[in-house]
Amino acid sequence: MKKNFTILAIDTSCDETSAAVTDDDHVLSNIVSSQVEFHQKYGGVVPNIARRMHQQLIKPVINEALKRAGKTIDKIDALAITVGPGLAPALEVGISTTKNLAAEYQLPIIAVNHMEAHLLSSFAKNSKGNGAFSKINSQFPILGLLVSGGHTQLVLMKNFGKYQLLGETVDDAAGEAFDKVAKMLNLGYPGGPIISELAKNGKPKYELPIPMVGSKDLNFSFSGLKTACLYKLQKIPKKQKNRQFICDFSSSFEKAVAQALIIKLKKTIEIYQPKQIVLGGGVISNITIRREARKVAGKFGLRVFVPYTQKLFTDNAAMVGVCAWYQAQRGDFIKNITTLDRQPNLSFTP
Amino acid sequence: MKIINLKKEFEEKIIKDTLTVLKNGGLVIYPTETCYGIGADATNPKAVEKIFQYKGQWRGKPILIAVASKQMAQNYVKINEIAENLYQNFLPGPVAVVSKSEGKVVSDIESTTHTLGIRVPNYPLVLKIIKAFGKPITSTSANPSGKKTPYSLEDILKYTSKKRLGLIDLFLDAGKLPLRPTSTVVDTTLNEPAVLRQGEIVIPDIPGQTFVSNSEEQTKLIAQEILEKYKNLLISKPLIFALQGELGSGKTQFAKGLGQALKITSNIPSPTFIFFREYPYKIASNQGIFYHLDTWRMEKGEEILDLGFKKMLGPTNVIAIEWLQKVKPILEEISQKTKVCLVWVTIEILSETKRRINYCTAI
Repeated sequence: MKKNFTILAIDTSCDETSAAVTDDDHVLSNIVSSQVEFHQKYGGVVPNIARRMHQQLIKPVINEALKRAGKTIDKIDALAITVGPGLAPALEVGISTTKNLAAEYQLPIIAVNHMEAHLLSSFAKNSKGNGAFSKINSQFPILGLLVSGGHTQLVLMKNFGKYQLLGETVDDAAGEAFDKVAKMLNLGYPGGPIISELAKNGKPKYELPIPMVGSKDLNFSFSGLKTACLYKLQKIPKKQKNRQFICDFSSSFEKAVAQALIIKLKKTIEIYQPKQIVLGGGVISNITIRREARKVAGKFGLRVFVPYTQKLFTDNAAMVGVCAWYQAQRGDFIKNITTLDRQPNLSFTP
Repeated sequence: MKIINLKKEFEEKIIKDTLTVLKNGGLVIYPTETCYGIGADATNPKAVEKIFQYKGQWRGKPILIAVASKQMAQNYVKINEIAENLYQNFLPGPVAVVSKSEGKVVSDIESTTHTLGIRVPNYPLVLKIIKAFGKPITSTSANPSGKKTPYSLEDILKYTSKKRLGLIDLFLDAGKLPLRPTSTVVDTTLNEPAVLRQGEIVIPDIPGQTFVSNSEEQTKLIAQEILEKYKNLLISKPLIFALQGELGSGKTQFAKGLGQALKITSNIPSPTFIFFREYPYKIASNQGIFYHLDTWRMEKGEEILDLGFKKMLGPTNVIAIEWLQKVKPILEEISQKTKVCLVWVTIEILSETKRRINYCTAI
């Protein structure tokens, strides 16, 4: 079976329109719409909702990805597309574009699970072949902790393509909790970066409940922590909500989120005894969460791997391309393109 | 490019020379508490054009501006409650605050939705320069797009082409700056407290009912009970539950309760990030789809129409919408023109464990 693939990958799972070109697990280009401006190419203003609807952006994003990779479409071996989980109308745009490209250029399609792509994002290498796993071989089982605005999941990876979802949030995702608490503190949007920044100047002196600490399963819940923050903040007079208070509260909240993640991470390590840990998703930009994850993994003699660049943390198509390469090696192509459809509630199936 | 060593020159002379460059529409590279920034008169189109030339592909992408104080910022943006908090507590400092622009700077540096990001750099000399200049200057990192963030003159000389360097008139050299990350940008225009309040609903004086819930579990049961009352209508029209209640009041718990009543076994997590989720359901009397929507991250309520809201309005479908404030006029219009049953639900926080849940039907 063919082992080398140059893949054009597309992800339109929610906010971002993204396209990437990957050569096996090497990322040649990775274009994310919010990070690049295209206004001159299609002349006009793109309000947020149009961005989310992707139609205007998808062609220029694909062209830019090919251009930056120095490839023309005739050098592409396969197309990779995120089919879920995600926002249904957004997913549809990427899928229909992919179908058209496949028909026009006679290319096979690889359907990718967006969360599997986050899980494999640490396996991505840059164009020179450097990445988290470039000098170390993967050893299974690998435990993945995926934390983002929309997801909080613990996944056991027995091999490429063999996954078991061990736990996930029953209400709010961790990233959402950051946004909502930032709102309560009147800090604006998005909440993750600003809370992380202010937490650096604060001490975790406010006691907040660690969510789901007593629960026996491996699920997460952040809605209780959000409500606890609300009650705590209601009791503090407005005058006292000064700079130091906000920094200390940010630090306390960040610590509670990190603890909630780490307690379940530890429990999972004890039960499933993985050989390696991978982290993925936008919220792992938070250094406290990364540090605490490394600390607990270290106690079990385990290494923690994160993607080689922050651009692979948040939603992007390069991780989709890398994931698709692993799928291509096992012949996981779409057999009947007409039946390819969005799967907004897609999850990990054993 | 003229270089002034800040340690060796008198402050008065530094300020005077910098003002001369800014007034002539020139570019100045200056130190901040993060990296070196590049400044031009943010109200001078020719000066801003030079910034775009220097930055390269950044043309069209919003550019931050630096001001000397909140008072100065007020001339250029509308400062709301959230922005007030940030200016009060965290500026000067490495936080950039995005607000609605008053349109007094070159429009190319605003965002496409006419917002503008403002910095107050925590660097006394720079604040003095801006104050003396009396106008904001651009505050974007002094590297061409895609190049290394500059913390020293060497960084800039090493990674910038001669042609680009030719655009720079003056470099204020403070030596090697500590490697602090660039400023954190926060948008204060999403979910302004005033906007959320505007949409608050005065509960119409029509038959409805009030419950008191003492737990999340009870909130779910109340939701089931309310759904039970309207279930027979589902054969002919969709049911919309428009939910109002502040953060943490239990709107998602209420939606979970609706899901339970519809015998949906999968978990129903918050749809905030994803905007909406859909769950097929099947009960004895009928089957359809349960849509769980959340407008929290939407800039405007109209976005739900782009998400295919009207397609969701088939008979037998049940729709729960969190943060109805943003979509209230749309829902009212739809309920007049389309065959739907619209149920307004308000959840009030009475205490840490108690919630008052009121519902009524729009006639």
